[in-house]
Amino acid sequence: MSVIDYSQAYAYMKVGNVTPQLENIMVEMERELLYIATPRKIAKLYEVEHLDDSYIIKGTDIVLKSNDINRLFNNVDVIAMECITLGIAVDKRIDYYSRTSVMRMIAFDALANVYVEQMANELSKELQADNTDKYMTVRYSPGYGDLPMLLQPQLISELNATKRAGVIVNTNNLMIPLKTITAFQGFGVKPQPIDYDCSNCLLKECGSDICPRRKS
Amino acid sequence: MKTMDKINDILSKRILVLDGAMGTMLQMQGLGVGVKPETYNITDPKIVEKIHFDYLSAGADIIYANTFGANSLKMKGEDYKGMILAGIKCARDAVEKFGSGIVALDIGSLGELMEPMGDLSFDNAYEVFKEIIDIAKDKVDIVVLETISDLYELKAGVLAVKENSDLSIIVTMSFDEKGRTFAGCPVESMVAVMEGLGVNAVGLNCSLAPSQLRPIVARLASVCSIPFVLKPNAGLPIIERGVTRFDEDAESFGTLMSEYVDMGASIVGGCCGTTSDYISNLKGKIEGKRVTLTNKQITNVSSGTKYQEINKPLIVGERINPTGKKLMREAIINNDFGYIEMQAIEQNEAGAHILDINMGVPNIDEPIMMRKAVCQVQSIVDLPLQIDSSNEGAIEKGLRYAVGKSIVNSVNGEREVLEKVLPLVAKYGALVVGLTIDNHGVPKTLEERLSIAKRIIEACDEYNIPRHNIIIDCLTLTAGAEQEQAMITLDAIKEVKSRYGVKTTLGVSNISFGLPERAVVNRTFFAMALSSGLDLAIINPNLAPMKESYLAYMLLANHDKNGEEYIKSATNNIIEPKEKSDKKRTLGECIIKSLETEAMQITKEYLKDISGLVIIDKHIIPALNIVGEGYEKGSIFLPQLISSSDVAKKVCDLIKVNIPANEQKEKCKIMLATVEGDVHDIGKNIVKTVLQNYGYEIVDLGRNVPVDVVVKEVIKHRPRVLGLSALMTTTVANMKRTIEKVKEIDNDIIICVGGAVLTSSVAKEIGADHYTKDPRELTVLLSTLS
Repeated sequence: MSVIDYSQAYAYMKVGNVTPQLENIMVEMERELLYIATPRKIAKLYEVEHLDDSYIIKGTDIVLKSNDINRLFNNVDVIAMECITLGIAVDKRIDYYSRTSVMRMIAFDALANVYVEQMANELSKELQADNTDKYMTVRYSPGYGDLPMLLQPQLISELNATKRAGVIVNTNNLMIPLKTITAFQGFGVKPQPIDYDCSNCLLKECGSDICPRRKS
Repeated sequence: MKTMDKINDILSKRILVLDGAMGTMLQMQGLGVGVKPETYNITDPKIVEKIHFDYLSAGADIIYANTFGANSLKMKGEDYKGMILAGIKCARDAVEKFGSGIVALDIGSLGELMEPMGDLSFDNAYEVFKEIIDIAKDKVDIVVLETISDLYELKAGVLAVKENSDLSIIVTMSFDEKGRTFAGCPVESMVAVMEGLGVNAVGLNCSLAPSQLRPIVARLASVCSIPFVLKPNAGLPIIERGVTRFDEDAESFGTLMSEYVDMGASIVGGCCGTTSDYISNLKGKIEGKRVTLTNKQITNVSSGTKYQEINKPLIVGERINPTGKKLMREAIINNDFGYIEMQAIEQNEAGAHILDINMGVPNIDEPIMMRKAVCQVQSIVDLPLQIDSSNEGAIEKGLRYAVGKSIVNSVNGEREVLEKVLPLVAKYGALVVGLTIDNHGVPKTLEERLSIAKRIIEACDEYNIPRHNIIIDCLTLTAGAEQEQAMITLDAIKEVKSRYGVKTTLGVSNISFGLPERAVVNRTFFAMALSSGLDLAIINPNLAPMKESYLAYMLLANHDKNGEEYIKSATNNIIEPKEKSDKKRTLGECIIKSLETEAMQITKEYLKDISGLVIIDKHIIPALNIVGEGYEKGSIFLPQLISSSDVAKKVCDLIKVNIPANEQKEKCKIMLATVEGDVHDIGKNIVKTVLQNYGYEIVDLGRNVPVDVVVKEVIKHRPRVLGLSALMTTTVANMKRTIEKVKEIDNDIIICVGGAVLTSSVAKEIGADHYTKDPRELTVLLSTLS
């Protein structure tokens, strides 16, 4: 039985019909991915101060000034900073397949995308289990909507994710390893909205039909 | 007394104790959020000095100056030089007050990822390390390189210390519970490479709790011949409301560490979360203990991520060598590293354990080519390397830029050659192949060959190259010309091993030169050589008879337990399902249905009667068009498009080998790049594959390509079309800059852009000529260009 949800991977790959050949490749790629990936999950919870237009994360220099966060985080009093990565070996393998088999590259890449999302979902569940008295918001990452990518290095530094998970931010605030998710997730006593909206997203013309931020 | 003598004196009597964490102690003193610990060296030196003093009082023999993160990359625009000097002064002042102690310059990871996955080159890393050494070398007793994940970065650091000072070095990397660093370096590779480079102690720090160390300590103890170091965290981190604490108290920390001393650790201390209490407790627990080192004498090679002991016969892939190989020779002359890369990949997939790299073509700059080839090959496969050259400049470059522990191929019995090459072998801790030949040629008798082997081994002794790093090549002579020599070679293999205790290697296929049915002679001699004790067989692993002989030998010699490898190879899983059909398919149908094996068989048959160019024009392109149109209409999906493209690419590669270079026609030249700052290149790679199959000549600049590099390459290659890709919004600005700069030097070039954040309107805004949403749209567009 597969660990990774193939249906999600097929959605990333824009697969209409799954041929036996493709399924065999997916099985082979999943086995390899699970063998070489070194998943790491880091999360830290912070008390926050909610101002009119922003959240100040206490004990850090981080301020979340974002309409999206204000809309999606309903008066939360705690925010988790999260970093999930599959490790650099996954990037290297994708690079390898880009030279030997583009089909495998696509399959491996899609499976890795789903796997890192699954790890992030797992982490969210763990956090919710530790905070059963609170409602949890959606996970929201730097670069989504109006939440600036500039938060990326701050978040990585605050979580000490370079030392603890090998995650590095480059000069354009992109993370390496590529299969890495960073996010903020709030916890509050009030029920939290779960809707997503593309109207403020910088990628609103991306055309993606599987973006989790487009599920509305 | 010199520092290392002092350390060795301590180690001969007891365990050497390092200090504990600096950051934790500073936090206890009120280190603020976001404040770098090194700034305290200038703002609050008394606090730093007091922490050092406390560690010395707790029993630390070596204290790490508070300089871990002070370098020009992590502290751009800050006074990192001042922080280094002030940090050392704090440590020195503490030692002076306490009365004794060794001050270490502490250097951590540079904070940027090394090439090829990151931007930091080996030379740049070296320069950053060198600058730190130049600032501090006259003021410290020893250098520590710690918390490093990439073996390449660590190697740059060690070379920077050794080439710019005479300071002793301790290195420690951070490992996960599987004994690998984030970059994938196993414990054994670290030890192999670092012992070879001549560091004084090696080990681990940070990341793990003492309770997790047992299996890694056992691994260190089994491979390490020099003192090994443990400096773990104070247990596992527990985070509560943003505050981190560790779960091991000083008492249990000391107890566990004492157990590891019993397993062989001779230098111990603490990392994150430890305080002077931990060090004091540790010191008490190890009182009276000492470790006796043993020389493990392991013959091993390594890349940055793959460790290989040479304790059973291994295959050295011989294909990256221009001798007798026209295409490789052309690739070297034309700087075609794509071809070299493919040879590396094919040999890797065929089961080579080590790759030989030889760039010996007359009138080229062999040292530069060797460096480029080594960097390129190790960027794509993780096999250890054999640097094959008679040019000492090329050998030096190969050894320097290889991440791991390599083999030098080769020296011979000539004094002049030995004196040139052996110092390099010694400096980089490599293995060396010694050919049993000298200026009198290949000796005809067994004893003469053994005499040359002895001469080489004795010369290695002079340079302190250990026996386990010596490999003797008893040389294969052509049986067709000197039939009696075949058995002498095999006898020499046995004798060299039994008399001198060194390993052996042999290039096998020369045995059959000039004879009919060479493959039969080759594989028989190969089996005989393996049976005689051959350790490293230099062969082409892609040749089925040789590979089969090897696997059969490994099964029969009980190296391949349960015959797993043999059975796997013999039954060879074929992914491609067999479709039942009475009708013989055409090549086009096979491409459309992505049937690779059948497509290759049909192509080989076609090539007997039809020219390669006709096959491409009449069979491949029409098939790709059908797939492309299906994709456009939505009846075929991306994986099928790519699958067909993969098959077409393999067929095209087969055809190209059979078309003389002067008859190969290619459509216009297209340059592709993912723009500066963007590291996502999946889309670009898909486009590349599809366009190659349509016969376009592709120059792929890769990902994260700086604007000036694109401009330089456009001037050099003059492509008709430039395709730029970007996935992230933040890098669209770089795409715009790239377009502006390219248009400044070539206004006729056609620039096409693509990627998730691009649309027609964005493309127009940033000055691109076209936006295409997928590879199919691009091929249609290109077909309309004059």
